[in-house]
Amino acid sequence: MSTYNNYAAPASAQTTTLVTNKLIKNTYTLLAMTLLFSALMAGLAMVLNLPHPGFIITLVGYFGLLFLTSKFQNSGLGIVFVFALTGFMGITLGPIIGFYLSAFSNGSQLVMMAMGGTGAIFLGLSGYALTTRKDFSFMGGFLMVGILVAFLAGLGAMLFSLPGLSLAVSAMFVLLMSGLILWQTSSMVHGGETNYIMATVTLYVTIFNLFTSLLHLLGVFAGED
Amino acid sequence: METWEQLLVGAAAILILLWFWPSARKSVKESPKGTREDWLGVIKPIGLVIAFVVFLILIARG
Repeated sequence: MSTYNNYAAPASAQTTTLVTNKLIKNTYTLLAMTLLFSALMAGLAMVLNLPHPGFIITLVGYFGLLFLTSKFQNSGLGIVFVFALTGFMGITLGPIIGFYLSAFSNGSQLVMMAMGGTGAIFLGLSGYALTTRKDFSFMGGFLMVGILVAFLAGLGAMLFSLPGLSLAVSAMFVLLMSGLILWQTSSMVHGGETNYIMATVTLYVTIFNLFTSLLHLLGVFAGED
Repeated sequence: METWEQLLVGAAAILILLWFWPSARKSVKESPKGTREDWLGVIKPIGLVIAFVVFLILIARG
């Protein structure tokens, strides 16, 4: 009896570690694949010179596909919809990158720096959360309210054409997305998130928003006509 | 932006607020409270991110 009990606890802890490691592996694998697919779609949109679909279509498409991904997160269809979502976001990104390449003489430099900066920030923060194994779950409520406020402020900046507010929103998003990377990575490590599709979606959204916000900040402060 | 687009974006903002506010409020109430040490553990990496972004801007300006 006591021998059985001595082996039960370590076996349970080992199973949890294996499950967590599998979740992390699956999440980063799917994230890498969706980022590549998104980049491909963005490139295609630029080559075909597709216009930006517009804010309304972008909103409807994003929230619609996000809803479908969430609804089917526990089936194979979830993977189909996550690729649909990231592909759609890639198509909306193509015209944005095209704009920066044509509007600024150092446009290619700005895009490269935004891309490199996004990668460095994501790698650094993920590494920090994974190696320190700190629990960032206390940030959940703060991040949710912050993102909602920033999103509504962004809508307000667009509605009333306020470039200053738009810049502030981009700065807010850099901070909020950094916090979200810490929160989501910690959530995977500590068992708060068990679905690799939803974890991938959250991390993809952080990378997308980090990139577009950095691009906006660099364009305003370092863009040359 | 056309007037109808502005009205649509305004309506979307209200809908998003009505849809997400209850779960945001619930999330704030139910989230565990962070200690001073927990928040310091967040401020350090975020501070580095801010410094890095400023560094990027300075490099891009040449």
